[in-house]
Amino acid sequence: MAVIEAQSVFKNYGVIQALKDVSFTVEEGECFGLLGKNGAGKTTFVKSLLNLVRLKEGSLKLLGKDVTDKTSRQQVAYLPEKFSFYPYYTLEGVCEFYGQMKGLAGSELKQEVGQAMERLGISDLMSKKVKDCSKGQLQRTGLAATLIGKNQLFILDEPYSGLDPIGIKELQVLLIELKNKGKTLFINSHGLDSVEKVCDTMAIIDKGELVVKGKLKELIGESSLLDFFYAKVGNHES
Amino acid sequence: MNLKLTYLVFKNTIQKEWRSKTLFFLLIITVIMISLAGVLLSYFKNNVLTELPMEGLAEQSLGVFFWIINIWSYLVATFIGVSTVRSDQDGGVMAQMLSFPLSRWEYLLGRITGAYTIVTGYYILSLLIGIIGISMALGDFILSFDIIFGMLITSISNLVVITLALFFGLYLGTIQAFIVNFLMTFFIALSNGYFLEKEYFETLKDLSVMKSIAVIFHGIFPHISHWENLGKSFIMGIEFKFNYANEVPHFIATYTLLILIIVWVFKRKEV
Repeated sequence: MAVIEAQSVFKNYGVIQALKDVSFTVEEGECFGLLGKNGAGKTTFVKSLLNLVRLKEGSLKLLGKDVTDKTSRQQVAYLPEKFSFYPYYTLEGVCEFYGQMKGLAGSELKQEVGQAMERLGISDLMSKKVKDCSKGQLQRTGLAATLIGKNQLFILDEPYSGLDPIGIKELQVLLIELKNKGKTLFINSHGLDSVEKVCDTMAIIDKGELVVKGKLKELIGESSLLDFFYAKVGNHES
Repeated sequence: MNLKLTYLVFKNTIQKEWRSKTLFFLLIITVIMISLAGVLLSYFKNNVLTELPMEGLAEQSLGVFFWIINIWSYLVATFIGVSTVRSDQDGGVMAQMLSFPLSRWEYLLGRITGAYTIVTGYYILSLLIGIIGISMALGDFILSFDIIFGMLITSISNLVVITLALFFGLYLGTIQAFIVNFLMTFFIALSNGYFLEKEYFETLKDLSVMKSIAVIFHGIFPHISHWENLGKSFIMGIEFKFNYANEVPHFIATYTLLILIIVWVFKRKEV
């Protein structure tokens, strides 16, 4: 079953074409990496998936439903590029809010919040306020929040952002764990090394156009993802 | 409609706005102003007005308090209306909120009702402090059912101010939204005042450019000034000619239209 279906997606910002005829599918249980240079259109695509921006043309479906249908986001967890929340919330409060928005309450909510924070190594920061947190602690909180609820699809926009090397390694392990549980992961990242370790399929987008899409190992062969990426979208003139 | 998620947004609005330092500051200023007015009132009553008749003093004092509180409530309504969505946009929280299975209409409803609850709470609290102040100064407890009813009626105009402020807050910076909202509500109130005593068909006679603009403002926006005056009439026990048969349907129709336009525009907004 296709969890994400993009068909001839076009998106303009005024005269700038952010997405040009982008089509691909992400199957259930896949870990999909969307790669591209800065300004390539990756975040626009992620926002399109969540109906945060309006498409000019084309069709986008999440879990079989058009993205304009709010129920398409019922089992979707989203980590934005720069995770933030109201500064006076405690980290536990942030996770609880996410859990409540996912329909959890009472002891089930407490339990899931506790487990998610424990999993991300922030259970000792429960009463710490957002305003007092480091970037890495906030990122871990955002990741913990995505683990709460019965989510099938995880849309992670730059999930490694702000994490130290230990955090990056732990996140890699977590993502593999989620993949092994049959969850679908859609990762938008510059962290090529991490994408290479975690993702089984990938697409490269450049100037809004899909350059390549397929099984990661088959595409890159013996070379590294960085070399492959550079060969596809690098500034070869310089 | 997902009432559970809308309620969570409503609750979140109250949680985030009641902590506002500006709101707290305005409340402190209000209490100080009301207390000073109460002390002055007490002083005049005991030292200056001892030879004068006391009739109507409570109503006049209440009128002064009502005026002070209404100005502050208007500022609070504008501030909360703007900040409730502005802070979401500036902090990047709006995208996270809308990534839940929540429609934009539900998000707006939660924010508007939450902001309205905060502003009405502030308004009622301020007025109660004022009433207690007057009661203590005059030695006569003046709280009545009419006053409570008047407070609720007056809060209708606050609802419109919040809704407009929230709309401008979605598209403008805080200061710009504040200024545009002030100008908008000023023109609405001005046109309401101009056409206050006139029947609807009379408003369309001898249309000049300015009068045409005023007719449009008076026709398509809720009559905030009329509702405020009606509330004032209940609070102060004064006569006010209010045509319920025209005004209630007009409010329902124009406020619904306002909400529909805001939702339509917001659905097209890129977050």
